[in-house]
Amino acid sequence: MNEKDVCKEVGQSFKIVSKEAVVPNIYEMVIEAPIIAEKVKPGQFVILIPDEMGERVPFTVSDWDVEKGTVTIFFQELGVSTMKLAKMEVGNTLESLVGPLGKPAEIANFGTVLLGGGCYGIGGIYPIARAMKEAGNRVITVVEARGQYLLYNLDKLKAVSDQLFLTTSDGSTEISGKVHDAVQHLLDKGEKIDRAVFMGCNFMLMMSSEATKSHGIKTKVFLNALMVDGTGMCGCCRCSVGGETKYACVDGPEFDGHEVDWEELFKRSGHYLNDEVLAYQFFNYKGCKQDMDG
Amino acid sequence: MEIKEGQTVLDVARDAGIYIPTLCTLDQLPNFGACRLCLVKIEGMRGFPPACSTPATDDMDVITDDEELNNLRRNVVLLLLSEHPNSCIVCDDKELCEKYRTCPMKAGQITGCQLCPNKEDCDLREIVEHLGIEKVDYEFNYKNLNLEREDPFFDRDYNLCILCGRCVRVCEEIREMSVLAFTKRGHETRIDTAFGKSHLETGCRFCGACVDVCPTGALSARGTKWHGKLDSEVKTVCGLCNINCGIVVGVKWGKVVSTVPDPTSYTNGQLCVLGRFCIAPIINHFDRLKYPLVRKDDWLIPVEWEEAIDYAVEGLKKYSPNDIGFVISSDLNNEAAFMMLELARVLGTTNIAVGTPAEGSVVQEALQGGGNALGVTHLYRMSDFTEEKLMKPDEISKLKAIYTTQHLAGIEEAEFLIIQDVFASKTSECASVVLPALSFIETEGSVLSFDGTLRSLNAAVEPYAKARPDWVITNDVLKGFGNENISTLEDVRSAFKDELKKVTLPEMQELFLDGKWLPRILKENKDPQYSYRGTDLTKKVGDLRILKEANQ
Amino acid sequence: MTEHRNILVCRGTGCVSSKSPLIMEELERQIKAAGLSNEVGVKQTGCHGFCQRGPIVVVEPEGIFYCEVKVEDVAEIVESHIKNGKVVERLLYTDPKSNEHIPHYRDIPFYKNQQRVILRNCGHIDPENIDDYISAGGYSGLKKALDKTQEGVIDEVMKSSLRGRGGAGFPAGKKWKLCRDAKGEPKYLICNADEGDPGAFMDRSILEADPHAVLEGMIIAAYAIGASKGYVYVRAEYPLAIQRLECALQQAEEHGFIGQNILETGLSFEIEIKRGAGAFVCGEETALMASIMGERGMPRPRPPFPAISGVWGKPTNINNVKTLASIPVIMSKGAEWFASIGTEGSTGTAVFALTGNIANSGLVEVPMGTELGKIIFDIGGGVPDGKALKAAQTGGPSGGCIPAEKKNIPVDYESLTSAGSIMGSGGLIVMDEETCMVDIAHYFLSFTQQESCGKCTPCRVGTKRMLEILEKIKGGEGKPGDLEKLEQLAWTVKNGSLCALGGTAPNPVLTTLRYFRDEYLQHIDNTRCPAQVCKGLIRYHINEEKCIGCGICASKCPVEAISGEKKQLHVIDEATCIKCGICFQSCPPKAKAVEKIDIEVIRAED
Repeated sequence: MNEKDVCKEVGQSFKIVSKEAVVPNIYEMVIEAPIIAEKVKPGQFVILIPDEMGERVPFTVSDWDVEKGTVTIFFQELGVSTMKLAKMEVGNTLESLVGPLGKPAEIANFGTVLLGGGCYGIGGIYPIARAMKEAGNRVITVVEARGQYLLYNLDKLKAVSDQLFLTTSDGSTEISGKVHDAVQHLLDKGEKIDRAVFMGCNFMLMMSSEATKSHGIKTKVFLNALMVDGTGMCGCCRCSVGGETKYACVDGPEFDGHEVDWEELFKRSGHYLNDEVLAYQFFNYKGCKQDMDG
Repeated sequence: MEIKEGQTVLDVARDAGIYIPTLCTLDQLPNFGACRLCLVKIEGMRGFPPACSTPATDDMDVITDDEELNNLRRNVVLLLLSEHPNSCIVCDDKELCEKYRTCPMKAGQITGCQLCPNKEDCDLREIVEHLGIEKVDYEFNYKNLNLEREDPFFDRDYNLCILCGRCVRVCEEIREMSVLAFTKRGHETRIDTAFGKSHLETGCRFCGACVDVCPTGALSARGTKWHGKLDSEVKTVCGLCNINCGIVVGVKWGKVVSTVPDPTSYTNGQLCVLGRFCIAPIINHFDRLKYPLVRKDDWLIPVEWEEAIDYAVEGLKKYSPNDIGFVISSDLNNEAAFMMLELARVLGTTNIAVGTPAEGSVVQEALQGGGNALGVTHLYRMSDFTEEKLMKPDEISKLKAIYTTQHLAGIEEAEFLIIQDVFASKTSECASVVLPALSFIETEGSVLSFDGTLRSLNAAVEPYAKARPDWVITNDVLKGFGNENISTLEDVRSAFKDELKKVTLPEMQELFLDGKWLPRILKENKDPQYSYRGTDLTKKVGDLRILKEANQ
Repeated sequence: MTEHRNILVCRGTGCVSSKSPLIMEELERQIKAAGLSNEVGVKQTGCHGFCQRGPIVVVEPEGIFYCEVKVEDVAEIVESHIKNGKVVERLLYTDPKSNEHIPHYRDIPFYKNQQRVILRNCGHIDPENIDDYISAGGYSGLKKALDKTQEGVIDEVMKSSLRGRGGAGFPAGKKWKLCRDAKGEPKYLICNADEGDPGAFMDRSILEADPHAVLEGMIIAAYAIGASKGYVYVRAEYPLAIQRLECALQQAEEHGFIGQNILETGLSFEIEIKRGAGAFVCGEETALMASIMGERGMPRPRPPFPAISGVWGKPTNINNVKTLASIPVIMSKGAEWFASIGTEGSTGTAVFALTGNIANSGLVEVPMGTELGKIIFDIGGGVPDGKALKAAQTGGPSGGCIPAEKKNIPVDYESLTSAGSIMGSGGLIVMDEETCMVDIAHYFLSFTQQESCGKCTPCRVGTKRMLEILEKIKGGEGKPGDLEKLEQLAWTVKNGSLCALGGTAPNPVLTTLRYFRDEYLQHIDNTRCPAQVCKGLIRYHINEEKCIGCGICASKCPVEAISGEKKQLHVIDEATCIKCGICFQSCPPKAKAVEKIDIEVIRAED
């Protein structure tokens, strides 16, 4: 019995309930997964396989609905697997969906919490913001993008944030620059921040962590490590945090941003780069499958 | 400054090494005057005439660069940037970002230079840097057009299009296909096909000329766009048909990642769908033969080369010359074909079949007959074999022992079958010995193109897995028969080179007087045959299959 | 009733659309019924130019001018005027100033102050009858021209100093000579009838009223240049003009004016009518030629000029309808006569389509150099409803606004250019004090923006960015520095564009900025539209004290934004209101309860 059949057995179909390009290249996908929806906590992720020829890809759960039995993910189209995902239609079924995986985000009443999101993290940070707000924190949310037209999910974030700042590289919003520029901007204005949480690409995590470091703000980041099984077996997502070896899938994905060995993370993340690129050589977009018959 | 008849101000400036920015001009294409970046000042003329279309005269006084002109050019580029994703250009963190986001982000839709496959050779970016633009004052206006990627081979993201019209003109003027056109008007003007049809529906032949001329990332070759800056580029010729167009092979991580037309070649920078889009996927296909294999107890087992050659030699020795046949692929280069003929001569057999020759006009034969059809035929004639003796494939298949250099249906039943090929196939599955050969892109060698000219093949990458050049393999077999005359490629060449040099077809030269000869003969004929060494390429390249199915 | 009478019925597009063909039919029927067919002829004519007062019926030879005639009036005209010689007073033109009836064509101020050279036959002859044209002196110019050498014809045109009426004002004779001297056979002649300015209808009227004049001009030009093939490029939206042209072509051919061996001179020339699809840019000569050749109407850089390499790569001469219609008279009356009209730099006459806030709108023709004010006030009868003149736009969307204080400016090429406008092909739009100049600039720019061919960056994108700034200013979101940005953009578009469409597109913005900068600043600094036109800056309100509760406004409101019981105060729901202004217009004059009020814009702190 394969993974898919097991899932069917327990009543999990992983049907795509909705799919929408919220901004160019970033998609919101709602997937039927009632068991996951019941269990998932803020900061946790799922691993899915788009089709029978696909690979395992991790995605942060950005929202869920226990009643409807659905989970929501945001993803950016950045390779063969996400391209397949972007091509799937409402009603299609994913090959498999495993979760919730990883440790939930640390939620408590810290005082003033700064949340920073970029790219998929604009969507992914939402459950954490909501939980932080419910825990009694004052929530300041900062989201970054290249331009205003690439920002999304703002209404939802606004509803759970005391303040929401938009920052863009091209200066089309109130703050010009990236999340770390906004952090600097807030600190300069005398804002007292007790804790910072960032979600986005590794570069953004690194830059943002650097911005909070000198101010001694406890900073948590959601690392993006290459991942295969997601249960601590393969070691693919190994990273060094505070001099110790950690596995992003079971020890994280939330880590202390000031302790992460970024250079190592970048090196490991880029390791399969040429294979990722060459995967395109064989990829037949229209058929959405690799050419195996020869 | 010296002015030649018919030169424009831009031509003269370029000859003199004076830089004038342009986005819409292109050699071979008529002036268009759309981008408005080459505006200059000419004494006695009103306003700012465009250098690209103003004829140069001896007494002209031209200013190509001053504050006012730069201001005008900057304003025009800013207008382009107000609608072309520009955030990376103006981002403060761009240097750090370049360092850490080293991975080419294989994004579906491009929203910044970091995500753009054309980043390394973007004409717009170059001009932005030249003009020193660091800030775009306009609110960015993303067109939000749908990504067009339902067609094979290349993606179209007209959100990046700056409407320079190069693609439209190359399709109309050079390829004479007119698949692309300007549609709508005013600010809504777009590049599109007639009635918004897919390229497949319009009869597009996917030559890729439009992709080659696009100055931005709007048109991009899907399979080969994300590799980033190339490690090296190697000029060689395509071996998929006997026209042997000039190509430039892009190499990254030791692999062939792209092939683009060589503008300095006799085909004037034009290719067909095979040369432009199919070589890289074929060469990198996982179905390549990697190791020598010999049949042991009904299993094909990987072995060292020496063992495989011994197996082949010993096998052949068991048969009388009359029972042995040779199949010489017309995709073999001259050196490899010569060695096969030499082996046949040494073994004393005349049982030889040559590829699958095509019939028709010279051009049709070139397109359908194989990558070195003329060379192989001439080498055969040069040897002492007469054409009456040339065997048909079905005659060969009746023989007991066969040494083939290509996949050929019907020979699987032979008692002893040696296959020396690039791809695994039905033939190789049934073979007694499988000898993995290198493709035309990985070997040195020569071909005799359909015009009777000898052209060199250059190896672009290191040998694939354990595969070896065809001539080396055959020579090793030949050595097994005690013939050790040849040890270098030069030795092979000196044996036939002068003979092939005599093959000249002066009547073909007339064809080349027109720079657009290749597009024209491609338009008048079908594409070259979709096969290499007997293997159906549509089974190797999915997009090619889609194209073939659409044309049926 | 001794002399033969003719009743002329206008069948220009304007009068046709107000049922003049039915009037004509009815006239014919009643004249026949009255047994007067031998004494009274009923004849169709082209446009008289006074389109505002159509349908127009003229009784000749007296020259009695009836306007706004209805089918029901026919009986009275026949009974009273034709049978009993008594002019039907109520159908006569009434002078708005003196309130007196003016019976005669020649006495009406609209006509009295004009000098009609190009429009010489318009309204007087039957456009579908070549004999009518010939008896009015038609084709005598051609005969005179054929008596001269080809150089002689070009010399005559040069001496007349006739300048192209299409807009740029390039000397016609010089253009002909360039084409004649160019190498290449065959040569082509094109009549540019792709009239596209909003509100302009000079070319259409000429083609409808006097098509032979244009054909005769073309044949003369073809002879002088050595062209063997001619095209009339006319937009397909002008079906009547095309129909009359086709009819005239056939008749001219039958009379031996067109075809092989014209008038036994050995000259051969044929004309083909090309229908344009209505793109404004196809009025540009290189785009027009592309369109004729079946390509997308996109301008190309010049050189090569059409005279050297035009249609099908051959020497081609392109002239406007009015230029060509001037040629026959220049031939028949002589270059000196023509040059004596107008000014030294701009000879001859200018035809305008006078529209906008003007009492008498229609086609007018005056000598070049006539003061703008004279056209507006003496011919046009000034601004109606006692309002003041604010500005006038010449040259259509490519032209500029000339403010009221410059009303004494002579209308000729140089003067208009120095005022920031252009002569253009003949649009003249009059604006009263209730016009917002930002709105006007926005209107014209949105036209050129949409009609841009999209080829070159400054025109395609630059006009769009300009329009966006204007939209913001109109919506009360203008920022300090916007005007400088507009000027910078205008400079880029003007100097950077490939063709004249882009090169002149910023003119309305530049001239309004030049003459009405304060009005722009009012929008930006005080978020106020002084003319109360810009929707984003006004709201509609019903005055509580004045409202009589008639309910007219509520019944007319297209979005049901007005509520109120009969005889009770009505209220506008501002959230629903789309500010169309219908309530404002429909409120009975005695109440005048609907008011426009400046909106108070609360600005976000920067």
